[in-house]
Amino acid sequence: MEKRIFKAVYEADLKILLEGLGLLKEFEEGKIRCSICGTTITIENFGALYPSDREIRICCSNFNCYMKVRSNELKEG
Amino acid sequence: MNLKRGKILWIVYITVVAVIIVVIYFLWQHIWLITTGWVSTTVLMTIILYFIMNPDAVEKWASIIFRFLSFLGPSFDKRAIASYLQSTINSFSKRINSEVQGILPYGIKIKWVTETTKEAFIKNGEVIVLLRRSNNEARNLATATFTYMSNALIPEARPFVYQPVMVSADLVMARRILLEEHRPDALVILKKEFLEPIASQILGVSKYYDSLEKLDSQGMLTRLIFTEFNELAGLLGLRPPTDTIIKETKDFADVMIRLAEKKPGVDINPDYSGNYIKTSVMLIARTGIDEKTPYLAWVIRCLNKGIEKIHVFARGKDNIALAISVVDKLERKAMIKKTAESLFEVLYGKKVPAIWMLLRPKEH
Repeated sequence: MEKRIFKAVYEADLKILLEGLGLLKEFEEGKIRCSICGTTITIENFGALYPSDREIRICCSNFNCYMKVRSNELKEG
Repeated sequence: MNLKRGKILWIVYITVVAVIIVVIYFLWQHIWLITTGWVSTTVLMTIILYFIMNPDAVEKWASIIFRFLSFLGPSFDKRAIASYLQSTINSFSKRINSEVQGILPYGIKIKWVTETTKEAFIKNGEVIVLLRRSNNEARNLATATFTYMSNALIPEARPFVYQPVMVSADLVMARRILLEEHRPDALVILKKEFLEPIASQILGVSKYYDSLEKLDSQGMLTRLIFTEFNELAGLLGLRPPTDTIIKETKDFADVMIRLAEKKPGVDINPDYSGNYIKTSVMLIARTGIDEKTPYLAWVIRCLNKGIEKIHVFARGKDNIALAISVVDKLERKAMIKKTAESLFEVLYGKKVPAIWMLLRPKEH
């Protein structure tokens, strides 16, 4: 059976990942907002990271936001 | 530092493997003492064969071992999470595909991302989802199963299907994984964090979720609804979805839901004849007198009306026997050909055997 890659970041690795992407300071200061609904992103409601328009965007764990990210990804892809 | 940690991990791995080998050796010796060598060899070979034939079962056992060792460090915890989610989802997709081919055409492999640069991340262009520690397994399971369903369930057909029907189908199938896994904790999360918010935002999801759940309990969601949606996608190919096509999927689902929810004695027309979907359902039940004739007449009527597929369903041993006999007679008369069949069980007070057969006109 064909398997598709599901990329994931482990909760404890999130800060390392954000640091590499240059977003850790903003994240810790509560300045990152969900790119779909505008909610402030925290560790509790962190959903996913995705690239769009040569920028890194973050969406919250609300599934409707995630679905919009996926549908945009399909359109762009 | 990393090199040292890597060495420690390898030592732990080798120790674990060595312990497992020693345990198996002692069990082997024990079995050897109480039985003949032939029996113990057969038992051991059966176990080995089972694991070779069921790699998902091996992965599930590995996830338990990794979880037990997760106090040693996050890399064990990550392996526990990945192994558990992969084995659960991949074994489910195999089971569903054995019901009807092509419903969940691919499985998942979790790839952990730890460090990357902005440039590399943008270049790769992929979504990275946050998964929690394994002590939050229920949340990870609910998130991963629903995310998987909303991407992998009938992937070619999804763009053509009326959104509330498609999202509800994703939720029903995610619920089925969690039910089969006996995870009430993950079911609560699926309901509270996915079903309820989605139902409040997408009109119709609440109604379709209940109805598709009933269809699923009768074995009709995968065999009837998804089969038709997949065939529709095959017919449409790369054509973009239009409002007319999407409405056709909604109308088809509505007719089949009415049929599945009908009260005994109430007649519902089981035909759906749209621009693309032209199908009918024949629910077979014994009447006691001249049992085959009405069904044969029904099939002739369907063929004359231009129906391209007939889904035959029957539950209970006697009705299954009648259904097989009716289809056999139709095939001998060279009117139809049976292109798919599956035996399954439905809950009807207790577990009852059931059958589904897909018939097409002979010229197709």
